[in-house]
Amino acid sequence: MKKLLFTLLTFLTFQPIISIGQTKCDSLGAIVSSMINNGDEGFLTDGQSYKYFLVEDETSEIITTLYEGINYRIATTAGLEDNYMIFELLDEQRNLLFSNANHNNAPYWNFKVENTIECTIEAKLDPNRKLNGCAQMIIAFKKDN
Amino acid sequence: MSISKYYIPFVFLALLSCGEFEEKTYSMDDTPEVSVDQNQNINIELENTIFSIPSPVQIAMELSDSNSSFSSALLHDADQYEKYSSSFDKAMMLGIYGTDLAYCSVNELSGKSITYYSTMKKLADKLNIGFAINESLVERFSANIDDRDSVLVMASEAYVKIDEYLKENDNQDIATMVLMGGWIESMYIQSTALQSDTSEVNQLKLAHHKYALNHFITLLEKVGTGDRYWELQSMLGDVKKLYDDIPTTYEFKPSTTEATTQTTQINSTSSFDTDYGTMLEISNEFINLRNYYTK
Repeated sequence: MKKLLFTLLTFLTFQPIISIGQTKCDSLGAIVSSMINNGDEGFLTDGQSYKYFLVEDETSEIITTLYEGINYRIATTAGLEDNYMIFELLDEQRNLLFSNANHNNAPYWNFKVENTIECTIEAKLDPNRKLNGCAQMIIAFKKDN
Repeated sequence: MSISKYYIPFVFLALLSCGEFEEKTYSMDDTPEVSVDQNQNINIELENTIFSIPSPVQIAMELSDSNSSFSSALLHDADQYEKYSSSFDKAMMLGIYGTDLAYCSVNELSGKSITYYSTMKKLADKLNIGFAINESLVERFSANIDDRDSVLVMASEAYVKIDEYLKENDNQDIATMVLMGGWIESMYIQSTALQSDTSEVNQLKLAHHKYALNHFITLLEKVGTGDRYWELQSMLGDVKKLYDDIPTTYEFKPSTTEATTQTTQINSTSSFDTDYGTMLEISNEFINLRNYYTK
């Protein structure tokens, strides 16, 4: 009985630590999805899930092809605040094409593409706003009219 | 002594728990709740790199804008889904039927769209990921079947849910095969279009998938788990050799940004120096590849 009590107490002691170690990410999908069609603009997601857990100074890379004649919207979030995430679009030579850091960490941005190019999207948390946590990105597209 | 006997296993359990996903639970709206641990990669990450693959819907839209008319002969027979038994085949077929769904939906063929959506649901069930296309999604799909835009949104939602579920449950190989199947079917339809309309526009559309091919080869190198993966990788390697004969150029030009509309115009230029002979060979390779897996 004593042992059972000890077991229970130990479990209860550790349970909060376990919970802190894990981060709920389930709310991010709804937040980032709302940025894709916030004005009924006809964007569709590319059908892939981009989620990651970032710690301070850690960067996640998404390598993608942007096709000519398609408009893109890249949206990202790491929580309820709009501006936790910094993302940059780099070309195949690592030239900077865009950084949302120049626009108050805007959570989404649209891109028009003249020619098909290979790009890298680099995403990280803004260390001045959040040190670690779940992040989610959506790449959406629509045909250029 | 007795304390350490019980203490150590619990410390171990606590640490172990931090390294795993929480079991999925369901909220009221039947949406799976996801918990992610700091140490768990939930995307197809290769040294923190994720590859993004073009959506089947995007490719189907491009085809519908070209002179290529819809051909039901290009679709894979939905009734054949039961003959695929391995996870490899089922995942690839899920992708193939996903592209057929996009192809039908873009061309506003509601009856066929429902057929392919239902087939995807059955295949997803066979892969034990049926909840990704849950009953409410199926009902919404049927209720909105005559609204092309809604159908495309729901098809895209289904792709995301399948991809998300597979990646979160450490099935990167299966997730890759679903994407792979979707892309192979897209390339098959695009290749067939090229063979009936050999215009430079159609050649370029196929040429632009050079990068996606390279991404898939890298993915298969990393997530492949057996002979079937190595075989596919080898076949894609043959296509790559042909693509390598297409010279490409790239020139960086600064982008222009309009902050008020939150839009950046990417002005960099690229070129793909295609020739019909090579593009015809590439299209033949894609057609053979797709027919090899659907036979």
